[in-house]
Amino acid sequence: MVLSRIPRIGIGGPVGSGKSLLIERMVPILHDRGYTSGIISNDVISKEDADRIRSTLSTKLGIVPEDLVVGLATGGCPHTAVREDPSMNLAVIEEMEQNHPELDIIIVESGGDNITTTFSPMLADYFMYVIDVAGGDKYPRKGGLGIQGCDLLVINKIDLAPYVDASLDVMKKDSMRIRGQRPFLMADCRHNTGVDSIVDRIISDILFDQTPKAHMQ
Amino acid sequence: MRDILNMMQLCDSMFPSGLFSTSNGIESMYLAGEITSARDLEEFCSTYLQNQVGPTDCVAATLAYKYATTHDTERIEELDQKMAAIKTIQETRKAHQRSGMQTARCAASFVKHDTLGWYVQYVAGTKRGSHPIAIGICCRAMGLDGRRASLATSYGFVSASMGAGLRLGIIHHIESQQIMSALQPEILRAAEYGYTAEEMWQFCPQAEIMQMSHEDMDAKMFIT
Repeated sequence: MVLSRIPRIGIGGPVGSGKSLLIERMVPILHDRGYTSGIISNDVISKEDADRIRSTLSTKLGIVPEDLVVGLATGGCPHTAVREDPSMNLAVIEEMEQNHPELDIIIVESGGDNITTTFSPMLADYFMYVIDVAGGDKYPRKGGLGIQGCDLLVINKIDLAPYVDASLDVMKKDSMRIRGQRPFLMADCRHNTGVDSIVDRIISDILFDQTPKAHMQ
Repeated sequence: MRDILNMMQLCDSMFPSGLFSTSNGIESMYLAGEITSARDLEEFCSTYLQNQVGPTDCVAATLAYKYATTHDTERIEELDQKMAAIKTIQETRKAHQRSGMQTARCAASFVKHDTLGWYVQYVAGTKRGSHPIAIGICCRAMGLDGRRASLATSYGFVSASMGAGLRLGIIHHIESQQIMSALQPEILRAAEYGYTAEEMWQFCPQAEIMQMSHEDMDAKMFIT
């Protein structure tokens, strides 16, 4: 099966929740399984995230060409750039699609923002929302469009739970209660724990287990 | 009344053109201490309207409208190349191209017009495009009066600049409306430039230097 256009994943979540590190961990696993990725990082104020992702994936690991990690300034409004008016993101995606038809997936990271984040359906076919344990175990039950409505909720930094008095059980139960049948996964991106399961989800839920384009030739 | 509604739709900040993420150099000027008050911002907009937006962007929008009326795609291509050449700052040129493409594509999703349809294909194929040209063609496609194309362009510049001023904290929400109102004569004047493509010009050296420095900034809120 070949999808008619390159699937797009939107990754949102609060500042410091680990969105960029999750991308840095996911992309090598996708690469090992034959899938090629392009990354757009919407930054509120700096190119820090894009530069760091490029440094890891392009310079150190050499698995993503430099022009496939793009940092976008958002005019101070990350929500607007991925929700109300995703024009600039769409323009960059179209350029990526034209220049790199070999891509299997495009990942769009939203600049750090609040719990009401959603992605324009034109921009993301699949929406992942990342929260972290250090924000407190109340986070899942607080809800919000991102936590409740995303396709996959990622609870990151589970290794920090004992240090911040957070109960992973509470977070798990609240996630199940507030999200119903929608999936959530726990991870510790820093130590690469749980990232394989997230990639499994992506391959099954958005790539529909299709063969990587590189393997089709 | 339908034409007023169409104009309101095209000029609404909700229209997905991406202009909200551009500051036209205001961010650099603010950080350099050149624009720090409502008065500074109004002066900048006034100067830019009369020395860049009016004699270049508004003229391009008017000409694009005219060429769209006769489906003169050859002249639109020439105009497009001229706009790419006249926008010497790479960051600004790229932003104009991207917002032009998205504006045309959005309008083409709800209004059918030969030239608009052609322009969407042309921009996708050549990776060129220009926001004022897209506005001119969109105005034609949406059945607006020819003068509306340049007016939408000059108004769009001021509206985006006020958005940038607000988010940078230079002005507050009431001041933005006061400036919009005070600049109405300038907005109208910029929209009335009557040049041909050969006579288009712009002269905003300070703004262009600041726009160039914006390209190299490590931390920035805006695309331009």
